[in-house]
Amino acid sequence: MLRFVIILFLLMIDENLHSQDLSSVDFRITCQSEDVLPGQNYVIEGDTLIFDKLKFYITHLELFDNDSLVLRSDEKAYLLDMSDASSLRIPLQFEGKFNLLRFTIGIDSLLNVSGVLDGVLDPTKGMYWTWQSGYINFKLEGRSSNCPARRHKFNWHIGGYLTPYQTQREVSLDVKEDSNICVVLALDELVRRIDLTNTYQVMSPGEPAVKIADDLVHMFKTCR
Amino acid sequence: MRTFIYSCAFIALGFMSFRWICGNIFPYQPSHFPVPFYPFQDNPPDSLMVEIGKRLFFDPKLSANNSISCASCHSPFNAFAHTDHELSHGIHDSIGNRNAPALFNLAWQQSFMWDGAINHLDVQPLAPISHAAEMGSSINEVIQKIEAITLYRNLYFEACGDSSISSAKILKALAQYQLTLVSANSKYDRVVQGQEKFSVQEEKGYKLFLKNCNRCHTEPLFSNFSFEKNGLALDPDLNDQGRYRVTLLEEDRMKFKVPSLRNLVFTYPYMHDGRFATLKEVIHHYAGDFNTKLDSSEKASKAIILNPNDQVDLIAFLLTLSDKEFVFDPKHLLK
Repeated sequence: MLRFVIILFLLMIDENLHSQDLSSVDFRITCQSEDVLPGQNYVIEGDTLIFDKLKFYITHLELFDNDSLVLRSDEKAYLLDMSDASSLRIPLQFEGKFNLLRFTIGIDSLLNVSGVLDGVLDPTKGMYWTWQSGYINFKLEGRSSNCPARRHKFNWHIGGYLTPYQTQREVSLDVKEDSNICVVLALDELVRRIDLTNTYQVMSPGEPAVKIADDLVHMFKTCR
Repeated sequence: MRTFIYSCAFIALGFMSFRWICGNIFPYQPSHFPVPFYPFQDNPPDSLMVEIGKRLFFDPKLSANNSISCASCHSPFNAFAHTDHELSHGIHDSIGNRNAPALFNLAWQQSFMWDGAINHLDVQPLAPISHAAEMGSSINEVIQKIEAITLYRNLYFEACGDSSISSAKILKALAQYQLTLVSANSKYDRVVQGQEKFSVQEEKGYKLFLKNCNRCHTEPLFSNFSFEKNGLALDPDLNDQGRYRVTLLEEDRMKFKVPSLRNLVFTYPYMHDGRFATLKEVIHHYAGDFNTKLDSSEKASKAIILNPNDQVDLIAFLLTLSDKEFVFDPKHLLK
């Protein structure tokens, strides 16, 4: 009996030592380490920037523990929207060890040829092209003093699922076990990589979209 | 023995499910047509959804100013093409960039539009609904308008068990109606089914067709739905680069989807920009200009050699592809 109590006691200690179970993956949109507010000015390397709209898809959300898959989200896609704080928290329940988070920015080619879908993939969400079938994987709209377009506006609607112009990108991040995984999207990291004097209107699949898709990967980091 | 029984059962089951998906489930399958491409399992045929789709197809509320319906450019009496109009017409008297294609046998097509920009029948209506020179609206606006109409809400309640309106419900109903537009009852069809015979001239034309045209306009659908260069000079006003716009591949420049030749009596003018008013001009192009633009390596396999007599015979055959029963079928119209 005593032995049983000791074992039970040890188990309880172990339970307490074990960090809290994972409940969500939270995305923070930042610029120069501050949370981005739509309409606010940010000065990056002499360029004054305003971010008006940011929407993007996250798919194939997975957790790994030393290279072995421990959790795969059942959701086909998550649509994250800067103007909707609740969309930036992805509920993800998991008990156990993990040290790597992997996800894909954008919609895979299979879903791109599956006709009309519902939920976040509904064409009413403003993330589906009408003149040419396919999802916009990542949409960033804003203003930049460097941008020669009307009212200094830039529009990056990044999509395309046909090779060689496919724009889905995989991101892997080392993460610590915690109840919430925090992922930062550092918009300044993205903007620094793109020349806004030339690349300000990208709204169809092709070479410029592929270049921006490559750059997207670099702005995702774990929070400090 | 057991393995044998299992494999028999497996094959039988496979065959049954194949019949379920491709045969029984599509009530309009002609016996001499191949297996359709459309994924019916995602949108099983339903007579009520067909009725709703028909109503939507003829409803000008789909356009921004309630003036243009799908049927405006895809008229049932012209095999769902826009006869006598080179380019499609839209709201506010605007003119589009391409000839409105005839709509039939869509279940066998993998992509839509002259450049194949649309990859699924369900999402095709989004293009004309949103195009500024066509309906000038948006799917969100269409949902709002349809939601406000009690008749649609009642019909959807009957068909789906709830009266809510969504893009999927609108687009899938439109697809269901369009899938019923099956043209398979021309003289050609009756001949291949052994019910009728070609005249001597039609028979001659058929042989010429098989030799010269069938490579791309493959029977019985009269298209292989591939993208081909047909030697047409670029119209500098339209500057339409065809398939290139979609793939951005150099080899796809000036390639357009091969249209079906069925019902061509009703679907003039011809080609992606409606540049030829008559069938004679089309054949004249293929027997002439088309050959001169072929590379020397392509000449042997692709050249179309037709003397003036052959051209007349070929036209006689092509006229056997008219399906009057399809064109004047009252079941395609609103009651």
